[in-house]
Amino acid sequence: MAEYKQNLLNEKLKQKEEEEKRNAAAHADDNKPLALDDAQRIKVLSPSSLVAKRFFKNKLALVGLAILIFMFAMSFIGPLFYPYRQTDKFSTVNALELDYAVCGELTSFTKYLVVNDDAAKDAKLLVDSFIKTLNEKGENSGEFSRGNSSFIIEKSNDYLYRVYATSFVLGNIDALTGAPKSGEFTDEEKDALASAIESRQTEFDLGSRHYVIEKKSKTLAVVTVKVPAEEKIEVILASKLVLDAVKTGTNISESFKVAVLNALDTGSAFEYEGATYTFETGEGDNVVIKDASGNPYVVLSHYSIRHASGEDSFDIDFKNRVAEVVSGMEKSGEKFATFEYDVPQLNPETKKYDVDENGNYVLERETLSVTPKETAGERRYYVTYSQRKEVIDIYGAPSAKHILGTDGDGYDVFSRIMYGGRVSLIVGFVVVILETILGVIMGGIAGFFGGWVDTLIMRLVDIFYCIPTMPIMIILASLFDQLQMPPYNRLFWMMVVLGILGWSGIARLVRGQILSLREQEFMIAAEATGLKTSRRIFKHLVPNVMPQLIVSMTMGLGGVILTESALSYLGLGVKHPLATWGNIINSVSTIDAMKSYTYIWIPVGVLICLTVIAFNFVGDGLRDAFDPRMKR
Amino acid sequence: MEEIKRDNNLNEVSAPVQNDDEVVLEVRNMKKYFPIKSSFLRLVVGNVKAVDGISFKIKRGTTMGLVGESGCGKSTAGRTILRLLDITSGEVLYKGQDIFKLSKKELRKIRPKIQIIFQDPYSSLSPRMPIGEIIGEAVREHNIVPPEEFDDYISRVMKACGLQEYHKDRYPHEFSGGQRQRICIARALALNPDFIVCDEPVSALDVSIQAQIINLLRQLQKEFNLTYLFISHDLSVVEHISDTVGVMYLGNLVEYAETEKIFDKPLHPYTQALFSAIPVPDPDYKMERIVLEGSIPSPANPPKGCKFHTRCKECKEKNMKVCSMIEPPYKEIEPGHFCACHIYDTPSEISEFEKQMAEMERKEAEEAAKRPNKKKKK
Repeated sequence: MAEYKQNLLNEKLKQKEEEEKRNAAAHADDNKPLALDDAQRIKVLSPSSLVAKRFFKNKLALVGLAILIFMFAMSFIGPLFYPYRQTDKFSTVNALELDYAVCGELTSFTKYLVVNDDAAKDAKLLVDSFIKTLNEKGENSGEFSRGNSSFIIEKSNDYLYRVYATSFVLGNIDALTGAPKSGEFTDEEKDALASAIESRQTEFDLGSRHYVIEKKSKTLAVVTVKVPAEEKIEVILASKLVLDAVKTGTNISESFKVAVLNALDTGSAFEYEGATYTFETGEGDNVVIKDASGNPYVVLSHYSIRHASGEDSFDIDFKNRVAEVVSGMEKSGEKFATFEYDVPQLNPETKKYDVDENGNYVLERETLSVTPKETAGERRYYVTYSQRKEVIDIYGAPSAKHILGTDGDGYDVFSRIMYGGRVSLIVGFVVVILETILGVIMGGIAGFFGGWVDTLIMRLVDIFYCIPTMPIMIILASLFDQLQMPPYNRLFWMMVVLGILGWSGIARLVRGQILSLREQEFMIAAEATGLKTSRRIFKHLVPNVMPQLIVSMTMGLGGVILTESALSYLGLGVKHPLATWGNIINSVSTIDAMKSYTYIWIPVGVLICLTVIAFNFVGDGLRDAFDPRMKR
Repeated sequence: MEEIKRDNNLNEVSAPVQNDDEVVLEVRNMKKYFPIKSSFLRLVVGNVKAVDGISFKIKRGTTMGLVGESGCGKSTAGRTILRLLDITSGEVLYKGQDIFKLSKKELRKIRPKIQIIFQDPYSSLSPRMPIGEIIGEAVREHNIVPPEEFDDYISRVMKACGLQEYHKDRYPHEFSGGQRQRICIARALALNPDFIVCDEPVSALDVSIQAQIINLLRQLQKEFNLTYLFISHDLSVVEHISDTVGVMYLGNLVEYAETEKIFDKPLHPYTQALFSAIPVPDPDYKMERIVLEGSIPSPANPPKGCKFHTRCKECKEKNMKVCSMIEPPYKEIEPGHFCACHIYDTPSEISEFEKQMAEMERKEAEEAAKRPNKKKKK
């Protein structure tokens, strides 16, 4: 609590007042002399209201103000009454012939391991090249070898090859004792190996097989076995046949497939894990394998029938049907065939097939067409039918629904213009306010304190004048892209950077003003009355700089909006899908697009021009209004 | 009507004001030089000696007039006293306290006690502040009255200065020069000062308004026992308001005395010339003007010896050599009447000066003898 000293002046003034009151009371009857009563003059305006009055007399400024009010209303209130948002994508549903299934022969052989050992794995890698060599030679069987392994390959038919091993590595043994180190050996073999090592033999026979011991190092030796061709140790089955389970989702083991393929040659029943399975020729070229109870279990066919997306999700009925049609077409050589089938429909909204409450597809009978297509020497059959499909309304012309049409992303242009106006105007204001705050602080300090502070700040201003905005923004934009910054953060940082790059002009203006104001007598008077420095700056100096500041801010707004539009147009500023006036034009960035879709860029261009012009009008009006010498 | 009334008041005011002998302000050998800097290296190449050693005392409740030509350092002296400018050397004592030795905080505390009224009422009021705020701002800052009394206090101060209460919300541009000067006075008065520097407060006003303002100042002085330093080049105004008068020439105080004494019998030739220019409102009166030749010398390079000797009539007539050689001492010639002029040198001083002059001449002759030698060498 401040102490109030005995204030003699105040006491005396009080006394005087009372005296005057007494006098007035005593002379209450006296006629008052005629005087111009100052209090009854017309209300005199404060400097700000004078400025307002002058401003509103300027017609051009009023036009500017009206335009600005319109822009603000459109951008900030307009969207509340408009049904669409800036990122509403508009699309229509069309019926399109879309691929549903693809049918074709397998292009490569599927390899089934009969035994799972190193030799088989070796062979698996080589089967394709073996088959290729066989086909080139036109032979039905051949011998091949790789390293220590040798194989015989036999062609059963076009769809099935069998590979037998004649020589393969059995495993590693200790070169000194003959004890096995890896691989599987029978007891007989172990004994034979031990005795062979003992007698320093490198080869020996056991039964019909011939064993070779090859020393690799002091302690390691590799045992290779050669088997007579008649013994036929089957290692690989390579097949182009497709085994489809009748029940969708049943997993068929590889060993079962091997059993099926082995039995295929004979075409008779076979046993697998205690159950008996029988073959039966089905429709088309299919072979149906039935289990013991006579129910179809697996279907063998030449065709692989897959969903257009590559999934193996069709049931056996559909596959049979397609296989039948395709085999019919292959036989007759027709290029087109149709058939009817119950198929599900795509839901354009969820982009999935419609399902009922049980999770089953909702099926409708449609006419499916099958057409062959040859690519890279392979013939595939495409099953298509008419499906519902969502199509985005790109570059839709103006209509009752979309006043200014839609842009390249199917967004409503008018709603984007309104939302874009928000961003553009906010960017303008925020940047200018930021510039002004920085400029006033820096310019104020430089002007008020002078000396080396002034020199330092003014050199800083010179440096900031030299920094080119565009390259800096390009570098920053690439940095933001790298950081994958969300659009709103990006917007924020863009405003900050533009503000930091733009304060220098205002700092110069403020400094100049303050330098001249500082020497005015009212500033000296303020010092003489002992006011604090901060109060002298903010209560005496700043209000006197305000007129010039307001004018320069208003003029600057237009410039900032232009800069922001240019940056966004170049894709350096505010990013899609956030709309600004700049990146709406970006939607039609090629000359052809500009020629064709004038309804997208002309309205936005006009709005940008109008806003900048309006800000300039208002700025001019304010400047004239602040300058009492300007008389209109 | 108004004028006459005020004149009646004036007669009362003219009576000696309540006078205690306390010295409110004392200035001791105050100097204020403005450095002249070279354009490139910012080296100090010389000084403008705006105030070159002045001393005076002002007693409580009195007014000291400070007169002189334009550019003689009156205003600089006024501002330096308030520490609005830094002092070069010397002391300014407010109630015995050296203003230039106070810390910034202490200075801020003492600021309300010493106030200033400026010459130009147009530039000394911030154009974007209402009058009430201009007057009250510093009052609030220095807690001069409790917040609850603040509004009434400002109204009272404004009334005391001849302003109306409803002027509070108006802006400076709505007032005439005279009213603005009243606002300036109210701003100074509101801080309850002891001492006010009036820096040519009426020079920018027309004559009738000048009278109003002068009377207002006198009235306030009488009522609130204020002390003024009244800076002006208008001698009649100074004669009217001042108790004592100091005459400045080129940064020096050449004469100082009570108003009556100095106007009756000016001692210094410059003062005499100055006072001879006061117009007398009598068509039959034949003025004997002493016309000074030449113009005021540059304060950056003032003449040696007596600064006035280049224009001094006495000096020329009597052909006094001492004037151009030695600075005249500022001394009390009659009781309370100080003057700095060689005319009033006592015989002992004359002999002393002659010795000094002889010494100086000898040195000069030696230097003069050296100089041609140097030229020859070149």
